[in-house]
Amino acid sequence: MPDPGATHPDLADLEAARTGEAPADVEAHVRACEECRHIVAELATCAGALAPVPPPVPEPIEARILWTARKHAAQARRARRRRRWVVVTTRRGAAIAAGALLALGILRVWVPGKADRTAPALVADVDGNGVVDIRDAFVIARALHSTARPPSRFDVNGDRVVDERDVELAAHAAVALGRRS
Amino acid sequence: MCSGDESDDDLLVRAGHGDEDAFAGLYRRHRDWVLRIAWRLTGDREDALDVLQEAFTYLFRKVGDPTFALSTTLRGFLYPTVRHLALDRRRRRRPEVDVDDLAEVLPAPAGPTNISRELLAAVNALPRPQREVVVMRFGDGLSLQQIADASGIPLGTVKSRLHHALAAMRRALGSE
Repeated sequence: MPDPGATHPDLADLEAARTGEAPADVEAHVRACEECRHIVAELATCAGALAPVPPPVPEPIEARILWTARKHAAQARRARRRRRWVVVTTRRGAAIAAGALLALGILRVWVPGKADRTAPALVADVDGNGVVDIRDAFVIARALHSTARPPSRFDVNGDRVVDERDVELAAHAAVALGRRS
Repeated sequence: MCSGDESDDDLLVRAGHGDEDAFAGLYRRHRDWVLRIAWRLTGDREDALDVLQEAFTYLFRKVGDPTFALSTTLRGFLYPTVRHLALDRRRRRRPEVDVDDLAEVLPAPAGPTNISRELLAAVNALPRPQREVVVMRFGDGLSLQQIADASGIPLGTVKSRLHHALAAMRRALGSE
């Protein structure tokens, strides 16, 4: 085995060239250098001599391993089907949940909730007798026609002004409550 | 069917979808290599065949798991598995023997010739770190990168050890 010398690739690179693992410049060098090709050929002989030769696999063992392969292939198919079902089901579930939440949101906007219905009604109880009725609207209307400044609690709609709109809102609240009761 | 041109990665993808031919293709492609390592490490035909079955059963189970993702080459994945199974089996059979020493020794060639006997003697005379690299390279057929990964050492160190080992072997065989 000749010495590759300083200008030649080292022995590890030449061994890598034997199996096609060497960098392109090493491969190119080996193709062009007879001395290095000779070393690579000797390394191939060395590899062949050192490689253990295993016993052949008996047919029953081969058959058992291939049967195991088929069993696991079938399990893999089942696992993928289950996974797909879970993904589809989860996506459908998420879509249904999102739809339900959206619908609830819309309903919340369109149909005032219980708290929304009772809040103006309680505010409209301007005479403080615990009942919202048409008399509350009359109280506000009467205050508007008096010379005295109306109390701020008569501002039923919360716009910081006591006027006819507060009378109307109190009247509507009284009518609405009257219908529900 | 499994084509010889198909890469391991392609076969693994098909196997992951439950393709029986891909499972069988992976087995046939790596069978001899796995058996070679198992046989070298166990030193026993029956044990080597048991390790072959256990290693592929483990691989098949992993490949069939939809969450399995290979982070290295298939041989990079199989090598520590086979090594562990084989050494464990050998340890159980002969608890008095240090299996770590056995792991870095090449068995006697099946058909002894002068060249193989001299080569074997030259390999077995190497310092342990160099012998380990030579055995993994020539005995187990690993790439340089796979040796680095399996040993947990940099690729440059693998190359350096291999170079010094080959130079020592050449001196021992009178090649220089």
